[in-house]
Amino acid sequence: MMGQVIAGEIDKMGILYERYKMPLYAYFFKLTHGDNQSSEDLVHTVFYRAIIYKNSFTCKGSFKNWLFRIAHNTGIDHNRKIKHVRNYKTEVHATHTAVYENNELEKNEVQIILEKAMDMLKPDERELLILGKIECLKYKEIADILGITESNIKIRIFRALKKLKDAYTKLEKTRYEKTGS
Amino acid sequence: MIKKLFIAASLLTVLLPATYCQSEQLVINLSPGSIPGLLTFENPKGSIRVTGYDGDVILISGTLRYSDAEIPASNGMRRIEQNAIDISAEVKGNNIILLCKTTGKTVDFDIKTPRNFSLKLRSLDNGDVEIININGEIEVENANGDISLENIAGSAVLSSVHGKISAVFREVNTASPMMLTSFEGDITITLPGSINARLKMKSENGEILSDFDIKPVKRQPVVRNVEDTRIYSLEDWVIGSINAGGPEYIIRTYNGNVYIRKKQSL
Amino acid sequence: MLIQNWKKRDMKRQDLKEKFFELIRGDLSPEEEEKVIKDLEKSGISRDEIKSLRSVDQLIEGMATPEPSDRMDKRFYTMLEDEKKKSLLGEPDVKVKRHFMVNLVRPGLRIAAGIALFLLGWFASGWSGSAPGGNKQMANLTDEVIQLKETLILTMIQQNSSVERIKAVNMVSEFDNADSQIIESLIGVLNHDSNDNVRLLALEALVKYSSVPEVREGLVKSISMQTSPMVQLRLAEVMIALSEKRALPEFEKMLQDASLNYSVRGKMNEAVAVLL
Repeated sequence: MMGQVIAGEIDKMGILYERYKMPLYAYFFKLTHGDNQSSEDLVHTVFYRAIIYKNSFTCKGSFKNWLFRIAHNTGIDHNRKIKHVRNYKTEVHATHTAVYENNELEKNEVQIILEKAMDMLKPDERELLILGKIECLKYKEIADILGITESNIKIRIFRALKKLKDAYTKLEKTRYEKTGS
Repeated sequence: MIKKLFIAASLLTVLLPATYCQSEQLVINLSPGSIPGLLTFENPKGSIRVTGYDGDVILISGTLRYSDAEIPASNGMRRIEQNAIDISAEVKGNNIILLCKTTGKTVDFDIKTPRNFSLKLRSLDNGDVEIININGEIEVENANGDISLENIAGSAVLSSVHGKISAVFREVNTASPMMLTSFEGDITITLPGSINARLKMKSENGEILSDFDIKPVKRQPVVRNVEDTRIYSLEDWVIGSINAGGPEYIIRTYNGNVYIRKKQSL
Repeated sequence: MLIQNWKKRDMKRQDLKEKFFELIRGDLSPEEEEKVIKDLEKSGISRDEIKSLRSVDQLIEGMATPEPSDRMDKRFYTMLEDEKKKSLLGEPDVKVKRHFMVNLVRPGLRIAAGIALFLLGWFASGWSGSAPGGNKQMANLTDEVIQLKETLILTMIQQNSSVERIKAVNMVSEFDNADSQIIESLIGVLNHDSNDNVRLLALEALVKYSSVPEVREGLVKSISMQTSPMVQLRLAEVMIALSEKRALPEFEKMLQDASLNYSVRGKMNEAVAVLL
């Protein structure tokens, strides 16, 4: 299908957009901690790059993997850019934890703790867990996207999951200690 | 998905008393997804001619320019030509790479491709490159020989060391820059009268002529800092726009004239 | 014997990891699940641990994501149309298909998105300075856009098509200051690009930043890497203009090559005379 896109039928990119826009949006949404605006921008960047770099797709391998590779790189660029902004946010976050929690009445408590726990992982660990949950991606494809072996991927996901679990348990404990329930 | 096609097609040898030429042919079938595609070919010695046509097959024919067979051997023996031309092709999606081993002999290539194709061609010695009826991006480098483009829709990046460049465009790709440079030879580019482009031209030892209404812009000063000295000079290109201006066409020759022609509608 | 044991143990570990993933995927029957859990227990992961890992995994699965806004689709389809228009070869009969989504969006957003897309498109189309005061526009743009443009350039410069690489080099020329990454890629293009025209363009772009020491060093080193007479000649002209004495030994080396183009030889001789 990508061959036809290279063939100048840029229209076809629309069909591919419809197929992958939701998984990509979800990927970025989780990666950016729920930043809707940035997620939309990043999805757009991915498809824009896909159109103008279409010549670098060599029909060896799947288009899906290629697209997610662009997404992976776009995500890294984005993180690099907002790194200094995030450091500031984390500082503010730490000192106002109590206020933050009380205001988030709408959000599921479990979700809040999970997000905080995810935050405590390294960016590549977090990304692995997010990629692992994208329905249309098999582990083999994730391996191809990130350029690592499949067994390596599984080991890393396992370790990241363990780290997440430990962080989650710790946060849960602290929370209950605070509220005394 | 790399398909390697090796020469096996037909071997045409015409045995005539006066002329004896050896030529080889190769046929590449293209899937619909491979059109438009990109054909890449470098001929170490000899010319390349590419003609676009309505079809989905690439036809390649290589002919030895000179043949040893005419030189009579001794003792009444006839010389039998050994395979002087080795053509092969790799097809990767819509990228077609032609490879040619000619063991130092001059071989002229005649290639027919589908009209909608981009080309990346190079001739290292002893030949002209001629392209006719193509819609796509054209890239040619020729060391010793002319470059001639006829009835093209698309864009061109051409360079020739010793040779003339002539490019006639039926349409241009409105967003693509172009570059035509030659060291020794005139450059003539013929463009449709309605296009919008910005021309950047220079001829060290020649003139620039055009029948377009190109108003050159005032030369911009250029300032360069060299250690503690600031050097002021004037922009050494002639810059002007055709109609509303647009992508940049750089046309430069060292020894030769530059002609920018308006395509005459028939 | 020892190594074989290690290998066996690693393979077993590997198998267990595979089994673990099958477990959390829910692909196994209750009996198979029990077997896997027992195996994992044997290798030192407690049942509780497995349980909590599974539940955390399910939590990640449950992370809800909302729907994106209409804007995302609209932006994409507008961009698609623009790109399609750009690639058309001017055939008069082609009708550009408008996706039905495009008509659903409020005009205000359309204009804002249009301007953003226009800026990106302006960069990508390689129109260097065709608008008057091009450089002034550069100064008003935010860092983010400049960053995006740099990433774009670095990727475009690796494209198979010379036109794309030319566009990339043209985009660089729009920067007033180029950072070292960009300069490095330009020097790379000057020394290694397969197309002599692109090399020539990179040379012109580098000349603009000739006040930067890395650029001058790069230009000097580049002299012995060029085979195209046009590039060789232009490089010699540049060295003369910059009075770059370090180029002297490079030119003397080149002049020893008997096959050097006659006009290039003349220019290099001139350079040697000037730089002495």
